[in-house]
Amino acid sequence: MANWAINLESIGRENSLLASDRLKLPKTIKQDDRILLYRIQGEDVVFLQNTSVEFAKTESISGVGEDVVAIQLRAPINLPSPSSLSAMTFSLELISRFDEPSKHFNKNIRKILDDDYETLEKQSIFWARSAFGFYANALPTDRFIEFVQFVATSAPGLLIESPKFLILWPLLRDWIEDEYINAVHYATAIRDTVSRVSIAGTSVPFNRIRVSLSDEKQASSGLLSRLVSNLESFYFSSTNTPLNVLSTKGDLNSAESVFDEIDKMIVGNLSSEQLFEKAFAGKKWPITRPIKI
Amino acid sequence: MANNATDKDLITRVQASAQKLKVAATWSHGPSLNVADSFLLELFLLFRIVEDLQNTYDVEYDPGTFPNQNVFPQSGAAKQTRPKFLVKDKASKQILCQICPGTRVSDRGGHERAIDISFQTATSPDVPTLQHLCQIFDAKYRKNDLKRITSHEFSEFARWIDLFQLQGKSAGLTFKALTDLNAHCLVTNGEETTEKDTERQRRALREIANFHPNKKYKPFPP
Repeated sequence: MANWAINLESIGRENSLLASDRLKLPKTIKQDDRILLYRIQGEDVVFLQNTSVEFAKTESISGVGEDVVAIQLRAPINLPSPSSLSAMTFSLELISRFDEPSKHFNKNIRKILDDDYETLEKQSIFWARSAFGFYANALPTDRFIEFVQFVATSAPGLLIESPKFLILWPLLRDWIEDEYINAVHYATAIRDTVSRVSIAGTSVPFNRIRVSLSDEKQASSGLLSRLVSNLESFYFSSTNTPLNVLSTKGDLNSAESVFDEIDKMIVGNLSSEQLFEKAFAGKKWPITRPIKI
Repeated sequence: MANNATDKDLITRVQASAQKLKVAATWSHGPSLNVADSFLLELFLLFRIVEDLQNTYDVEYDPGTFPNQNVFPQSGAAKQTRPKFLVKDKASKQILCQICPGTRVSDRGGHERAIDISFQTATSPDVPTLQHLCQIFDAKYRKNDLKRITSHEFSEFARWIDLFQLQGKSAGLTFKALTDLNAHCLVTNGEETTEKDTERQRRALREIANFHPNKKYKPFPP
């Protein structure tokens, strides 16, 4: 028994499906094969229903040189809720194009592994790998390489063995917190201090202050105010802590962060995470940049 | 069994947060942000110094001129055209001292070294030498704020005090709250070295640990 994902657009009124120029049904599709039906929505693929093959037959059509496959599907059943590919990018074994996962579904029909079928149907998520994938791919290349160096010094075995996301994710989490979350303290304090300094009579145009790397690279300077607000929005999007709480309490670590919630998910679904870890053994790091790890 | 609605909500938040990280880490169109370079700590220290000195003095901001107007150097740069602060006597308006972020000064051997924050004499020129230098600050950012200033960093700062012949020198400015900064200071968000106070005194320097917006800093020697 095999599993297939089929674009809903290809299916006829009576849930019947005939090979055509648009859709070439494989000869290996058989009765009782499991089917997931999806729709393309913008850049995303959304899985909506499941069903199975009631019967499959080969027909010869006049004018077409060879036999073609036709199938009849059983009445599809809606999934408990639609399942979007972008959310499941790092939970599916079939995905290797992490920047454009929907490209794996541009043929209107594709075979999917048992594991991936179950994952899509149950909408289960490999939390450790998802968190790792989304954040690692957000880093600029030079900073990502620094993270790899950090792994090489703190847990070098991870660069040789199969990736273990249950270990890699906490390392990335700590690295990001040390690197960016802590910087928010200083960034916002600089802005607040400059504001007080200006009010007290030393006019400093905070919104014009830039920071440059060196003498030679004057053009490569960054606007300090933008850095501060970028760091701040990263902080707020990761913690849901409103601005006034930050500025009055100033204790960033007391807030419930996205990181904490991911870790709760990992702990709460540990057996599922461990099964995922086994299933993904042997795969490379799920990164979009051309670094071979 | 996982709750699908909560799962999706969290994935959406993770995606949004990662997108914000991408923006913050890239910092506009320029270089990627590296806080390990200590420049956030440096700028925080600079503006806190200015804020404190405003209590006692008139402090004027000199933004510098094109092409470096309002452009603070992340690592060392020539002083010319860069921003600085002028500390003036409130009554006479006479300049007492210049506060220069990240500028290079030549030492007694003629070697130029970039000082995170330096207090320079009122008449210090665009290409300063050790004779224009009164007081220096070095910022050491620790990603992990439980980490100490290393003994190597301590020795290096002590060596600079020697190379700039700063033993016994000071700008003589009166701080109001940050009184411990009236010295050649090695400043960190982390912890102090394991050196003894007698060694710090012998080297004519002070370590300032836990220099953080939400903490009370610790001076060594007190």
